[in-house]
Amino acid sequence: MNCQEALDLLYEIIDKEASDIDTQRVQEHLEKCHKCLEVYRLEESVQELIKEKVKDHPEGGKVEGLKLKILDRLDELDETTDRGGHTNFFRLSTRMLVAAASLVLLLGVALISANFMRHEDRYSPLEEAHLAVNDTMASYDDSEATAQLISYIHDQHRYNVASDVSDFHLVGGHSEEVMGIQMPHLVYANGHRIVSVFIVPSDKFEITPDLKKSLIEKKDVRFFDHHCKGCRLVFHQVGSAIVITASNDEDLDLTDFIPGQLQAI
Amino acid sequence: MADRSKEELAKRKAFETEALPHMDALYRTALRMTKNENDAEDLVQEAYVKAYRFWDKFEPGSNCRAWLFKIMTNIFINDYRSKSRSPMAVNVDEIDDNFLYGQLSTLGPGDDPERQMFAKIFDDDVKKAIENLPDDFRLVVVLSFLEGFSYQEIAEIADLQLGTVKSRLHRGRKLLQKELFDYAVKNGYVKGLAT
Repeated sequence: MNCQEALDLLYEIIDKEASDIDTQRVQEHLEKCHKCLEVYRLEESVQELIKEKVKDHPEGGKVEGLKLKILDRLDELDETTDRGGHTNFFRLSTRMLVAAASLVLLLGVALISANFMRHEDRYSPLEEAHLAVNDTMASYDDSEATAQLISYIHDQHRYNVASDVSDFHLVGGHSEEVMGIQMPHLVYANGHRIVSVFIVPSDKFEITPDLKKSLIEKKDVRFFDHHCKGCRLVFHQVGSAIVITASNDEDLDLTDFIPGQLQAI
Repeated sequence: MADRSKEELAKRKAFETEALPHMDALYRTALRMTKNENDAEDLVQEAYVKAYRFWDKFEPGSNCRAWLFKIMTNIFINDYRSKSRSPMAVNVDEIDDNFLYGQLSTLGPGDDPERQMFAKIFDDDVKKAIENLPDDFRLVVVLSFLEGFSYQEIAEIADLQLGTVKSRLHRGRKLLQKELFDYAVKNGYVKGLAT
């Protein structure tokens, strides 16, 4: 082993991550090479010194207070579960939740395109999407799949998807094909209130005039609002995507659910 | 509360026994990552709330600490990571691999020059130097130095390739050493060579 090879393994050796064979060979080199031995000694010592300095013990009172806050949050979660009458909201009612979310989605789909307004046209995507729910359902309970979707949205559109929006919590998400467009679909829930967030590439979708029923203006930002038969959709173009939020809850401020830097007029 | 099921109570108890004891460690890392106490508290709370929600996904007997760190890291990356990437003060690739050795070896062998350098550096200065590292480097440095996670564990927690963990840790170290050395020189603790 030459000096370069020995130095290349420096940190792996210090971190005890090197293989036995590499450790052995480095050991042999260090016995012969004073310079490398000095580098190893210095690096190891620096490492120890840094670790010593940062090994802090957070102030006791601070940590105790934080613990109480966390226990309070857990109590809240337990109570929400009890009120819902389920032993575990997230375990048992995922199916219901997804079904409800997909209903919101389906209503949304029906509204989005005039092509789907005729009954027979609307029926088929409705049915298809409904069946698809069974396949995508598992992903709602999978934090990893949701995390992947979130990072996809971040990479693709530079949006930071929030895990909580006011009292709503992100329960999951999946990628879904609607109207022939593949789009991420996120679902937020607060008890039985549900909000869907679809992120549609703006080069594939247009907010047609019939969707622009009314305009919401909030802090110089413009949203299109579409009320119809108990379902409400709010559209907003944010950079490379059109975000569509949907809910059947009339009173919600859906604009809060739009991720990304809102685009002022 | 009264009608809370047995299952529910058992879940809560298991969570408190297995997950809560890691709070100190999570908070310590959260503090270095968010750089302030309020955000660190929020981050740790969010992580625990999420962990509790997904507790049935945790495999009993597996590494709970790493699982919690993964959840917290995920939230940090999505919700807390500074919006604009902090510009690196120095280009890390321009720092010589043996920078510190080159600088310190002239102080005289056998003097433990690094001890002289660190003797006067306060704990808070080292923490500050870590906080000055760009997010990506800081994360792996903190998980390795503070929490002692293995490369493989860090790869899983931060969702990175093993090679990426190694290279970020290597570069993070170099940056940190340079920063601490510059700091020591600035304060007259050691003399630097002309670079």
